[in-house]
Amino acid sequence: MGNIINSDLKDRIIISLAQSSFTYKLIRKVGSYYFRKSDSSFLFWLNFYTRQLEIAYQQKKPVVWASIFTPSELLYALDLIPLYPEMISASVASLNLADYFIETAESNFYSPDLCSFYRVASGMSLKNCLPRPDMVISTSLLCDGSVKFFQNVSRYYGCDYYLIDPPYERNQGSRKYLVNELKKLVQWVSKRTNEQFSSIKLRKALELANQSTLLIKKINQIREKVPAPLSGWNALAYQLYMYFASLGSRDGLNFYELLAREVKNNAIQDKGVVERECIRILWLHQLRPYYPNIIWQIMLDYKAVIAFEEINQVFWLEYDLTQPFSGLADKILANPGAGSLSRRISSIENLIKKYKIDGVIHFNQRGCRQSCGGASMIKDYLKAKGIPMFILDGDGIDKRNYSEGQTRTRLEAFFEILSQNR
Amino acid sequence: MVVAGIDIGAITTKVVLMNEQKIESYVVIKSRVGINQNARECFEQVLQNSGYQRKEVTSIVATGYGRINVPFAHKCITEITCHAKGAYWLNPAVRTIIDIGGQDSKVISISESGQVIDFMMNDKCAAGTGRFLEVMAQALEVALEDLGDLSLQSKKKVHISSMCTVFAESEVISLIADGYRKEDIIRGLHEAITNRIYSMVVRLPITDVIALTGGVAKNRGIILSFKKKIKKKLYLPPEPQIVGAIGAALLAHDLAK
Ligand code: SF4
Repeated sequence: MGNIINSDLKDRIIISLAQSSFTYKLIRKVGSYYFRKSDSSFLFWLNFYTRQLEIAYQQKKPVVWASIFTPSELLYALDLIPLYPEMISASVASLNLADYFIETAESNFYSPDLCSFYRVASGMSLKNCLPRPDMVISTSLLCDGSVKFFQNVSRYYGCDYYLIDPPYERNQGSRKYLVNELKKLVQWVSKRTNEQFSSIKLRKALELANQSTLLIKKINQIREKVPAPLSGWNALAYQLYMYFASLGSRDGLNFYELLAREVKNNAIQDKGVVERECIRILWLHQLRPYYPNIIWQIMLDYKAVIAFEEINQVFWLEYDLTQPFSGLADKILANPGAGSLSRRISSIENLIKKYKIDGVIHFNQRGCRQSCGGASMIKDYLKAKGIPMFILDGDGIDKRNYSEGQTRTRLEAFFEILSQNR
Repeated sequence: MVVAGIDIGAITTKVVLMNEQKIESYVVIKSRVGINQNARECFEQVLQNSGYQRKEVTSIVATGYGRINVPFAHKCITEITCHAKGAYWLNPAVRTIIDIGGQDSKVISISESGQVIDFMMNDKCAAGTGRFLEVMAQALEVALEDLGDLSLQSKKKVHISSMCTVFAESEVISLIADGYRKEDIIRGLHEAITNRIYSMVVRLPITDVIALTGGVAKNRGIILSFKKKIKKKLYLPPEPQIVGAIGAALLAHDLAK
C-alpha cells in the first residue's frame, strides 16, 4: 500500500511539474545562476530550450512534434513551435530521469528493443509530461524507428500526421518528387492552422538558416586546428540540439554567433579542450550517452579529444531564396547518411583527413538499425586504409544497457592501440 | 630488475614476478570481494614464494577488470594489451589470441612486432565465458576441472541451442531428464562456446598461429573443439591463466626502463 501511495504521489509530482510552464521558467532562472560560469553558448541553449517548452505549454502557437531530420527552417516559416522528442529524451537522460519513463513505456508494451530515445518519449507522453502536439511531422530519413513512433504519437494525441518520405537516390527525379511533397506539406499545415502560407516568411527563415549555416561552416573550419578548440563531447549535446532545432530562427543565428566567437577565441589563444592533446577522435552517429558515464573522463586520462563528429557537418548548399523548396528538398537528399553506405564512407574519409583523426569511434546505439547496420562495413573499409576504428556498443539513454567496467576496458584498450601507434 | 604483473579477473587473481624478463614465481588464487586486499595477499604470497622483498620490486602493472582497484600498482593497463604482450613473449609466432576468461571472452589480433591491431569482446552476457561453464558444471553436478576429460569420452553429439546461461542451464537439465549422457552434453556445451567465440574470431583476420589463453584453455574438451573448428595451429601456453599477468609484468619492466 505504502508503495502505491508513494508511486502515485511521485507520478502526480512529476506530471504537475512537467505540465506547468512555470517549471521551465524556474529551471531557466535557477540554471542560469547555477551554470553562470559556463560558456555563454550553453546558457543561450538553456534559455532557448526551456523557453520553447514554456511557450509550447502556453499554446500561443500551434505545437508540432517533429523528428530531428525534419528541416526546422520550414517549421519556423510556418509559424509553428517545434518540439523534438528525441532531443527531449536526451535531456531527460542527462538529468538522470530516463528510467522512470522507460519503465512506463515498457509496462505499456513498448519493446525494450525500441530505440530508447523513443521509449523515453513514449513514456513521457503516456504520463502526460510533454506539451500536446497540434500536429506531427516526421521524415523517414535515416531513422526507420521514427515513422512508427510519430505515427503512434499522432494516434495517441488524436492529431494528424504528415510523413516526408524521401527517395533513396539523390537525383533530379527525387528532388522533383520531394519538392512536391514539401509543397503539399505546406498546404497540409495551412489547412490545419487556418493560416495562409507566407512565402516571405519562408524566405526569411531560409535567409536566417543561410546565415547560421555560414557560421557553422566557419566553426567547423576553425575546429580543424590542433589542439581542438571545441569539445566534441559538448557538440554532441546542446550544440547538436541547436543544429537540429534552431536553423531558420533568429535565436539560431544568435546562438551560432556566440559559439563562433567562443571557438575563435579558444583557437586564437591556442586553448585546447584537452591539455597536451595526444589523440584526435572522429565520433560517428548523432549521439552519445547522456546519463552520467565515464567516457569523457577516460578520454581526458588518455589526452584524447573528439575533434569532430560526423553529425555536425554542413553537407547542404546555401539556399537559393528564389527556389526555396528545391533547396530544402536537396538538404534532405544530401544527407551523407542517406542512400548508399558508400556516401557515408566517403564523407567519413573526408572528415578523417580534414580533422587529422587518429582513430574513429562508432557509437552503436542499441535498437538503431540505420547506423549500426553499416558500422562493421565502415570498420572494414577504414581498417584496409590503416585507420583504427572502434565500435562502442551502448545506449544513449537507457543506462541498463551500460556497463562501466566493460566500457572502460574496451575504450582504454582502443586508446592503448592509438597511443602505441603514435 | 624485479617487476610484477597483477591480473585481477572476475574469477581468479594472478600475480607474476619477473626478474630481467624471467619468471621467478607466480600465484593464482580465487578472486574474492575486496579487490585491493585480494591483490595484496596474492602479491605477498608471490614475494614469499620467490624470496624477494617488497622494496626490491621496482615496477608493478595491474590489469584485468579489477585493475583500477589496486592502489599499489604503478600503472593500469587493459587485459587486451597485456594478453597480447604476454602471448607474444611466450611465442613470437602468435598473431591471434583467444582469451576465454571468467567474465568475458576476447579475440585479439596482433602485428608481427607484437602490437595490438584490433580486438573483439563478447557483449555484456556470460555466454562463451568461464562463468557459463561454471554454471553448467553445477547443473550437471560435476567438478569444473573434470568437464574437459569427460567430454573426451563423448560418443554422440548433442546440440545445445541456447547460449543464454539461464536458458542453457534449463536445457541441460531437460537433456539429463531425457536420458542423455553427461559426457555428450558437455561436448555439446563446449561446441556451443566454440561456435560463439568463433563468430568473433572470423571478424578479425584468421592467422596461422592462434594462442588459446585464460582458465578455460586448460579444458581439453574446449581445446579439441577449437582445433576442429579453426583448423589452424593452436598454441597452448604452459600456464594459460597467467598470460595476462606475464604481459603486465613485461609492461612493468618496459615502464621502469
Ligand atoms: S538513435 Fe537511431 S533509431 Fe534512435 S532516434 Fe536516432 S536514428 Fe532513430
